[in-house]
Amino acid sequence: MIALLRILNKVVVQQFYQLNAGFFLVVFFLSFGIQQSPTMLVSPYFLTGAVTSPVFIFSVLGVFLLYYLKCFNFLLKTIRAPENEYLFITSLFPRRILWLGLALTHLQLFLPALVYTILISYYGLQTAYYWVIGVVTSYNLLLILYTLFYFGRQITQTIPEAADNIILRSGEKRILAHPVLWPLRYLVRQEKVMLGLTKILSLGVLYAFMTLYPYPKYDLRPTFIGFLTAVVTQAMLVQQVQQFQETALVFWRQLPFPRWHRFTYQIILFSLLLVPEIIMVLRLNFNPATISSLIFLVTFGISVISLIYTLLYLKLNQEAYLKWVFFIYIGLLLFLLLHPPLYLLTILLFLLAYSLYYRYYYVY
Amino acid sequence: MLTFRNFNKYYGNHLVLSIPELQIPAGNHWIKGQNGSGKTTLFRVLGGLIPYQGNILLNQSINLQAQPLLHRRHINLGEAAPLYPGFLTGTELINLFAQARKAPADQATTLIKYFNTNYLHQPVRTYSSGMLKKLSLILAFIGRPSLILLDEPLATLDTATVELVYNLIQEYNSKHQTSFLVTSHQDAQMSQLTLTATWLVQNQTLTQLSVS
Repeated sequence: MIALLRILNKVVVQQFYQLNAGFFLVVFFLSFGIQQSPTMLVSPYFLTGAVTSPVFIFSVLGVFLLYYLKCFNFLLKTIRAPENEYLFITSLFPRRILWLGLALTHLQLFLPALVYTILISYYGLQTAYYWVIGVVTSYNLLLILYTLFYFGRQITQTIPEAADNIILRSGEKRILAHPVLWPLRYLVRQEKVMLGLTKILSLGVLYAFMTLYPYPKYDLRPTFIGFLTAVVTQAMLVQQVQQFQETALVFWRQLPFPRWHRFTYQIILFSLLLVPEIIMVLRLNFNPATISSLIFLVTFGISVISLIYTLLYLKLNQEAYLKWVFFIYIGLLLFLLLHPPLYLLTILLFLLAYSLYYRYYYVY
Repeated sequence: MLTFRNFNKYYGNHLVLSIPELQIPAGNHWIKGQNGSGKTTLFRVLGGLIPYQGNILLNQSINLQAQPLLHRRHINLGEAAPLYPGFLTGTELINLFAQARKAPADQATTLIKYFNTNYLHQPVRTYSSGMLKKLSLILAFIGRPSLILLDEPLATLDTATVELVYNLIQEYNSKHQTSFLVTSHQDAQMSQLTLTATWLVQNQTLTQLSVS
């Protein structure tokens, strides 16, 4: 029993928190750093009022579900990773011990949401909104039961290859065949949940900005800020792409391509990564009067993502990387409010990104 | 010991192995075959790591696909290129395998001493390929299985350790009636083992070459 718990703790829980330190830092900053005390998500004042609102409670359940998907995806990837194939041996433990191990693992991964569940339940009790306690507790129970059922089966059975994988693979091979696009193939295949959640978030933010402040009722600055925010939310995907390139595609460094050639490939790659956002910005604001500004905006977005990518060659740890991304975001947001010539800003960002790439790409 | 019935293994649409009807008796078996012939796939199927079509029975009673837990209790696998997370120690892995397979109390300690592996308290990332191979062999020998699959067990091992592996195979075979399927490219080394039969994986199937 102890051997099983020790292995699950080291292989799953510790790795999860180490890999997501940056994510928790950002969430912590958003929850406490930029909130006033009355609207702080954990303040008694806020929670006493919020637990009486079904909209709030169901929004919290929605956020829990997104966080659960993140944990679920991590656990699945860990169990299926080639270096963790030995975990199939855990199926030989008695079922109750295996389930207990999985339940404890789930509880540790889901701990931030569980703490918030306890807070909500406490204020539900205080305000005599007992249905809130019932709903959040049952929801958490459902999630834990699903984890036990799904991963219990993953470990004890030889899981057949899914038919959709074959369809996906053939589609990938046709569309993302060029080696430059292999990182996108990696995202589609191995980082599906991260890719999906990032795109939901970035398109949601962009849609909100463009529908709350529509052109021509407002000028284009909200659209610019929405697009900038959507681009910056790709930061974790950009990091995954760079890690993939520097591990699985490390041979790429040895191929005789000049640096400008490599940089151009990155621009093509990131342009394709931003295709959904580009389509949305062009569709929702399509107007002959704005078309040139929107094209400049798209180029600006690609220059921002290229700069974020080149930051990774400065050998920053994840915390420092996310801090830099945040500073760049705030700086550019202020610039955009001043309505500067976008093409000039784009050229400057591309030049900065290329100089960093040129200077640091071959520094080991 | 092993019975194959209408066995097929595909990767996507590509047929890798097809064994319509075959019996492998208990004993020590050497599985030969060129690189890419399907030996490792066969071992991973028998080890319960990848799915297949058809039926494989162990001792005429355990259907490997329908009874995955019984299957894993009776068949141990030592992989050709063992891979473990670099931050775990060998000791942690051995403890896990020993508890899961309900190994006899002192078996793990005996195996650790036998293979002279005094480095197992260190993280796996510090091991050389030979050290890693020894760890995977210890894990493969833990428990009391009916069948042990050893995929290229002699690769990367020094001569002294190769002798230890042969002796251990003979000992498990005579004392506990454990059967072995072993793949190896070293013809000379395999001749030192008492073999029940030699098999060849070729043209997407498994055929018997000789019986001792």
